[in-house]
Amino acid sequence: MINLVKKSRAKIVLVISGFAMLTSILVIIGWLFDIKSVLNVVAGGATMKFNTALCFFFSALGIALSFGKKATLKYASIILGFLVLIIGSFSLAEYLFHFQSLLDNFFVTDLLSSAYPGRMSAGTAFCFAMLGLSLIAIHTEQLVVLKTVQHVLTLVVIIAFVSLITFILEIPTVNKVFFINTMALHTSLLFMLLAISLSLKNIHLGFTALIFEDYDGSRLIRKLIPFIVSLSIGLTYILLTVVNNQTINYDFGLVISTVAFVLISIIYISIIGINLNKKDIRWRELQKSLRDTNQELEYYKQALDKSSIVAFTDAKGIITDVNQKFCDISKYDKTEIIGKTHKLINSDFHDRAFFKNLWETIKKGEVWMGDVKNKAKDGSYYWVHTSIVPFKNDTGEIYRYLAIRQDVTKRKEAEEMLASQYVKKLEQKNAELEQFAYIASHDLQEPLRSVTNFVNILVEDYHDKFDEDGAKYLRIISDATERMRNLIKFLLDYSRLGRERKLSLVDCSKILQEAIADLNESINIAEADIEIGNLPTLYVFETEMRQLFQNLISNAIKFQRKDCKPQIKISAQKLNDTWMFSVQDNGIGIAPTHFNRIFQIFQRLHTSREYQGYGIGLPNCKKIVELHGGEIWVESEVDKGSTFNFTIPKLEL
Amino acid sequence: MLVDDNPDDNFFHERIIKKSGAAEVVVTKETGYEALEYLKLQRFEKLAHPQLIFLDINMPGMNGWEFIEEYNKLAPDQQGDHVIVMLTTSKNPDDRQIANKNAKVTDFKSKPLTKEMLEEVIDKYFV
Repeated sequence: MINLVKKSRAKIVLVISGFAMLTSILVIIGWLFDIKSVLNVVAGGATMKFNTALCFFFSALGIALSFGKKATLKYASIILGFLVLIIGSFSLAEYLFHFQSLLDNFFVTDLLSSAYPGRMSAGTAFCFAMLGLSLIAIHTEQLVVLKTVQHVLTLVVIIAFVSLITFILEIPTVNKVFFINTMALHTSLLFMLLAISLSLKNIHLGFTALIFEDYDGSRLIRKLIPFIVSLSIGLTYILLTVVNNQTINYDFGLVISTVAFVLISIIYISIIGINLNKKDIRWRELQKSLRDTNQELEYYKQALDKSSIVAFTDAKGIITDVNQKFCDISKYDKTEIIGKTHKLINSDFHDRAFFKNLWETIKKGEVWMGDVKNKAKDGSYYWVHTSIVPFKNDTGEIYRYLAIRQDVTKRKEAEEMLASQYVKKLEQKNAELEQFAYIASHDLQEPLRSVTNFVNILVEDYHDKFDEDGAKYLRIISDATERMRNLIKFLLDYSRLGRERKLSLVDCSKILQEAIADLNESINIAEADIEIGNLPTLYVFETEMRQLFQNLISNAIKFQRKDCKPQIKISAQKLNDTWMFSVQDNGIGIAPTHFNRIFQIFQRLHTSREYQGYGIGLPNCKKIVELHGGEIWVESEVDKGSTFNFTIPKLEL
Repeated sequence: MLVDDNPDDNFFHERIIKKSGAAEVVVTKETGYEALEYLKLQRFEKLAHPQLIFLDINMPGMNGWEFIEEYNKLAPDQQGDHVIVMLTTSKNPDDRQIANKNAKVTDFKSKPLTKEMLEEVIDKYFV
């Protein structure tokens, strides 16, 4: 309410002072041209004197100017205040010290008034003196003076109001209270309006503050004052009217009026009381729910403190508060923690990216969750499952973070132990498997050799004793054992692959050239065209890598189409942290159903009659690529050609 | 002298040697113990002195390497002139490494012994 009035008060004041100036000018004109109806509004009532009109003009102008911001306007209003003060107090002095001066009829001669012609009434003079004084004093900055001004203005309003009532209730001029006995109707009205206007300047002080504040008391005043004033005046007016009309007699009227006053007052005040009670009940409910919520929050806090490691930080991550559990697990004293950041308990276990991700998440206002390894004061480590919750203020800015942690050290240790056990078990199984393949193939050699040996003896010593069929059977046995010997040999090679591997920084172009040199003969026979792109220098297992290239190139030559010569393209491209190599040919291609099968050991797609082989080349390639931690796959179309791609990640020693 | 637990292999190797006419006597033993016994007794019982020993590694009981350990403890005149270790598989780097470390081993070859292999050995050590 007070703010609403404050905002529009300049307009209100301008309108009121404009109205006052207009009225005073009208009255001045009335005196100059002898227009009586302007002077006393109510026939037979007191007239507004010329001096009064002049003072009203000055006052209204002064009040309007006092709301201006410029210093010159301020001084002008002070001067106007002085003029009003002088005229007012001089007129008052005339009454007090019983003399008559030129002032009364200085501008025009009053022929209308019977008593003290031309002189304003004592009340008017007093009010002007007060108004003028207020207009001067209101420009000070002393609080006491300003408060006094507000009270003085209130006094002016009250005097004018009392005078106004006398007009409303049509008290005959002779019966008027002495002090205001000849105040005109418009005089009292203008006094009220002007005094109120000026008091709006310091709306926060005195009676205006009491009326306009946003408190229950002020609201009550705003509701009650207009009611009481209008009710009592209204009832009295009606009473006087009916008594004067002789409708009812005075005694009866007074009783009726009193009863009506009491009844209406009770009803009105009761309505206000009911509303106040409703408001109070609602307020108490709110208060209770607030208390309950607070209590509940307190329980949550207690539960959190008991169960979790809790820390508060400001927006920059500086710790502002921790609970006892935080101190217990980190083994730091509370005073050692507050004011520091969480670097205090950093274990260096996590990399920068980990914390970068954490901060990015919480700065967005989202909750971050994860497991963090921390370091206590005594150097021991502990794992905590952490949730970080950002707190935002009304404008959405993050002003604090809450970190809630659970000790998961035991779980983590168990996990780590389990993981290491698995690794051990896996290593053991792998070694066993390798040993198994090795021994199996080793021992298989012996009986096979005996078969070969004795077939040879048969061939050598008894060849003339065999007929054609017998010789053929011997050859079949011999071929089969040879094939078996090779299979066992490859199995052994496969199981031993990478056993002696050594990582070294190698130029892949160099290895490729060596592999091509080894295959020189078959390349020449097939008249193969090999195109080589730029290859990187990487940490690889050199021997195995050479074998990989060799296998892929020899496959590309072996599986050529009958109608054209092999064209092989070898290239490499970088994909983030790995290199992807491609060996492309224009050979017979592979059907998609076989894309996986070709990498399994001893799996073949063609008969020995079509293409010789043991089904060992690609499984070897796969194993070599996997030794490097990469992947191998094929893209192919039947009769168009195949592209074998494999990745080699960036390895380090 | 042939030391091999596999009688088939012994038979085959003996046949190669006899056929090539490189040796007067071929002694075959199926265990390391028997072979050591023979070497110890050769002087007293006027047995043929082995100039060349073909030794198999993969034998039950005492294997080839354990045999060599015992063999090294014999008096020089009890020992043979040359020991050729016969490896079961040509590409067996583990066995080859141990063979390289053992000074008493003259050479190592892959099974089976062939006529060409035998001629090469005789040319190298006896001519």
